[in-house]
Amino acid sequence: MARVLVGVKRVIDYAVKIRVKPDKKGVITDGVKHSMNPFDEIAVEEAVRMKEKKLVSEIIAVSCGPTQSQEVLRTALAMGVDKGIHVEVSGPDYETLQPIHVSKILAKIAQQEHIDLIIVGKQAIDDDSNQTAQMTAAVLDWPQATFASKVEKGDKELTVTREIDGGLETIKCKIPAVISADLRLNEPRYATLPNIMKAKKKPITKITPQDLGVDISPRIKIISVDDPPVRQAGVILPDVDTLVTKLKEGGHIP
Amino acid sequence: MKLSSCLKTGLCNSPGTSLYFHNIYQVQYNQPINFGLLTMSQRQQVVTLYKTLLHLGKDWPAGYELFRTKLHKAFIKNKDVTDPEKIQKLITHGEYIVKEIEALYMLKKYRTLKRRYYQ
Repeated sequence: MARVLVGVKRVIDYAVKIRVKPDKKGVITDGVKHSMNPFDEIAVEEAVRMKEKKLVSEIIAVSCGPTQSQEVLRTALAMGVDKGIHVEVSGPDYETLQPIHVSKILAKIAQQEHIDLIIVGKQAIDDDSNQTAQMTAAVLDWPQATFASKVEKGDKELTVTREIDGGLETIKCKIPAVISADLRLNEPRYATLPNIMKAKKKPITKITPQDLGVDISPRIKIISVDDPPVRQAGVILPDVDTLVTKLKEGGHIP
Repeated sequence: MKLSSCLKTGLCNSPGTSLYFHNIYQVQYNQPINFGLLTMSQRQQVVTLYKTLLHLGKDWPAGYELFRTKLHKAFIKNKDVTDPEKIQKLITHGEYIVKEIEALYMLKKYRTLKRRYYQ
């Protein structure tokens, strides 16, 4: 039976208002609530559902990041993943960690653990790169089924329905393969309290990129991080004529 | 037969404490999803329910404190109920609330993401 690898990223919680650091080199992360990237939750859920249907034998979750990344691994374990691998990358290395590095790490782990299927979220809600799945498939030279909204696993192949502009595309590909989960793939379960307690007994292995022989030297330099433009305040006009004049001034009507 | 081997083989036929232990064994290892509520005493069920709700409250949009106070009030309000049937009804209601809150969180997340990425 297949062995599945899921990638999980620790990101700032989706409900938190993001604030930029005063020096414009990043966003404030200290004392801010973090949680698992929502798209990765969908990926984990899909893997767990496959296991419940007895289509896969073991699920391994991987997270690259500082020590706190183990929290999201625990959440994944509580959702039904069997074991976790924490690839420790912290400090300045983590700030410039890019999908290219993560994909190499995922590929190495996939080879070491004899993985048949990699499922990741299509993108993280912090950097919105949307590259990890594609790059991992390229590094391993495996087929890729990105933006999946439905996955059917056969013995040697996958039938995946993909979300594309203005419609759906159904493709077939061989296993091993890389899948990236879109929003409508499934509804992730909530990690219940008893399951979180049980997850504490499941193993998490800690390794470094150097152990895997992956070079994580920065490819980019962060020059500046800016807030999105603020919406300008509106004005209240006394009558229609003024409105028409204003609109003409703004070039909205001829 | 020793008690421990009884527990492992599940061959406890004698009533009393060993049967009780047998039940606990069932709860912990054989019923991972249902918290084994059927085999718990009502008191345990209420405590588990309260803890589960508290855990859910940590993600409450209006803040944990508000949730905790309201939850406490709701439980205190029924502290004098002694009729087992009534208690069972209240527990069932509580479990329904747990499901509703989970669904609420899921929907909130789904809608936020949909608004951010698909419109």
